[in-house]
Amino acid sequence: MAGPRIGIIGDFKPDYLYHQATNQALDLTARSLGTEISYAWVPTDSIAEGESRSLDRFDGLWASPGSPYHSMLGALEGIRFARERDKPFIGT
Amino acid sequence: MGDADHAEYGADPETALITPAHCEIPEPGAPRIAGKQRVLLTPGSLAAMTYGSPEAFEEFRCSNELNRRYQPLFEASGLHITGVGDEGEARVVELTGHPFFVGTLYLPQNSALEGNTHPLVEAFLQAAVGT
Repeated sequence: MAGPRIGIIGDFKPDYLYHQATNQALDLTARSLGTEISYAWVPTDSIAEGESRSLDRFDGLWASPGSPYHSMLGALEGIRFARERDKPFIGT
Repeated sequence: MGDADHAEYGADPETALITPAHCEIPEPGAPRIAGKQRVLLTPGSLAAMTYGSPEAFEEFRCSNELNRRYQPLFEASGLHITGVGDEGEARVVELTGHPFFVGTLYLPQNSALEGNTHPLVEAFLQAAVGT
């Protein structure tokens, strides 16, 4: 059992505390639930209009903090994908 | 709302959907909404059930919020405001008719910085495990 695959919609900056916190929260929570987990950051400018299908590989999507996004359109497309495809979603 | 925009991206803050928070600015460059604040949760909402409580205290670090003039539009839509600050300002939204769709103005992941899990993150992962 590989556990859930989570896509984090956002433009990861390694020195940004709240991005580190997002990764830590996923690791910590998966451990506490006794499940494996895998996650990947998905840059907003990679989610071009009509190409949000790349998000289908994830079991859940998290819209990260750190606005302004590189691409507001990409971020919104990612959120739309979660909404329309019934993917569990959290935006923080 | 076809012309929804965000004041941080240059839209007029009076009419933008996301607009600078209506509160005192603590100091130059600091976030407008900072520190621990109470969030009142709508009874029966996913948020209230997840917390197991009608209120939560959360750490904020944010300068923008939903423009209050548009909150009634949300009340009439499927995207409900289910958590509010002491003055009724939107703090949590969730989509009805969806397995799990929640947005917060605060950062539940920050609990991890102190080594703690957060009920909303737990619920999100449990929903993802179930798919």
